[in-house]
Amino acid sequence: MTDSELTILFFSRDEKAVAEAKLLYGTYCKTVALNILRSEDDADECVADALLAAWQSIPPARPENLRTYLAKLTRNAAISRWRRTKAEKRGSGHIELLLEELSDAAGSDNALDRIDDTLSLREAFNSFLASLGEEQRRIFLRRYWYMHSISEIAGALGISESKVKVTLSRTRSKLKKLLEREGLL
Amino acid sequence: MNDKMLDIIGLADEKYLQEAEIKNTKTIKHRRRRFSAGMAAAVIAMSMVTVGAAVAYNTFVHKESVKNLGITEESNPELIIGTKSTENKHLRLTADTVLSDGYMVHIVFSLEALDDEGRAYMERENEVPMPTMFYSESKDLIYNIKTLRDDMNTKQLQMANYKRNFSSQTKKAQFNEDGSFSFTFSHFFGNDNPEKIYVVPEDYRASGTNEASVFDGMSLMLDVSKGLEVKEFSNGANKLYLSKIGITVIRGKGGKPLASGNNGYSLILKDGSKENLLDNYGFAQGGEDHSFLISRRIIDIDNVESVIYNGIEYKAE
Repeated sequence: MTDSELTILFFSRDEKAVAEAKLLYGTYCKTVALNILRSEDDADECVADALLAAWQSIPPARPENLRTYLAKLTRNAAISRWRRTKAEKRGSGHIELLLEELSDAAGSDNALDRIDDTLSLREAFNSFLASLGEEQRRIFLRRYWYMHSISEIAGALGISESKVKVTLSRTRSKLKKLLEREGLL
Repeated sequence: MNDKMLDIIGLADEKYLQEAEIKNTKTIKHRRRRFSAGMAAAVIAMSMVTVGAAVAYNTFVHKESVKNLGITEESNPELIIGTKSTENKHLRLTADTVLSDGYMVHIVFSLEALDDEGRAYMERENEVPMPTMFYSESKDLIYNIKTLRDDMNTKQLQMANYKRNFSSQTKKAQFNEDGSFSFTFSHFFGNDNPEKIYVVPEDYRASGTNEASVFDGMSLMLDVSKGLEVKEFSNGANKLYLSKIGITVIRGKGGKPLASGNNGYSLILKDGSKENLLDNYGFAQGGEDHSFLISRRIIDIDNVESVIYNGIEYKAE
């Protein structure tokens, strides 16, 4: 089944859309969730949440790329779940490690809490991504969007782990400058 | 530490997310698959019956892959119609059988690794090695994969995006004992069934990029003209066509609109029993003028008395 055929099923409110979407992208979405949650059961529930969110959002949404659209829904579901488990003091701690890495670049708690203009922040953040070299951008997003480990990134991109770490460090410095410009630091 | 940074990073555009996922296939470190002596011998034997690096007919049939459809040399020798393959130094793609009834086509493919890069593709974690398949009715277009991508929404060109999760649908795709991976490609052409198509496999991760694909240089010309017997059934002006691979329903002039949805495709067999085809179907779609179901197994059409589609019985002409 093609993405366009699947989208037609969503738009015609045919419940087979969810089952077909799971067949096409369920494994991929589960991988996205597993990278964040490191728990098979939690990842399965996130995929179910993401598919439900897709059912509720298409239409009106008409994703250009269904795979990436579902990946975003899955990531959102996984982060929400992580926030709940964090409150219950569960979890593997690897996201805390990521946040620690980002702490130099991260905005202040108060400033980030005041964020209400998502559109302008989206533009600013994507301008920041556009300013990066392709490899730098891929490494950054693999680490902080897909939450891959350093060794996974090095293996996938055929580069050394030290190069991954150095690239991430430089990218975080650039991100810090962006947040300073945006008054979030 | 405020975890809203996760939300900010979540605002990344989809184009960057797709870019991030592409692997550097030329520099990736490969894991070596342990081939048994039997598998190595099979690969050598297949190399001997294929010709060169381009398209070639050969006599080797991946019996396991077509057996998934219920096709064996004993039961349906006429459906094993010879195979065609294409390869580069990394992979070989073989069309094990091409079944067409003039409305729809069902093709069983097998994919084999020929070197470390091919094996790396077939062993990607959490993925089945099912390529995206472009097809064109124009030979000119198969040499320009970018044109195929750009024009994939035109009538002539479509992209089939195969199921990657086959764990619950093992009838559709599987690893075979000889190390190959087989999968099926079904497509409904309707009244515009071409006589031949040009098929180009593609790594979905290379789509939309300028990166080299592990499938570069591979293409197949397949004869998809009608080769299967079709039995005609009717209800008033509406016609139903049954073949060994599926059902096509067409609204005739003055006929009632077909019911939308896929609420039922059943066969009434000659012994009076009823068989629900939705228990084992590949793909089905309903519309007011056309509806079809592609079966995942071979239908014994000589044993069918009538067909019920969405509660309406269609009787033999």
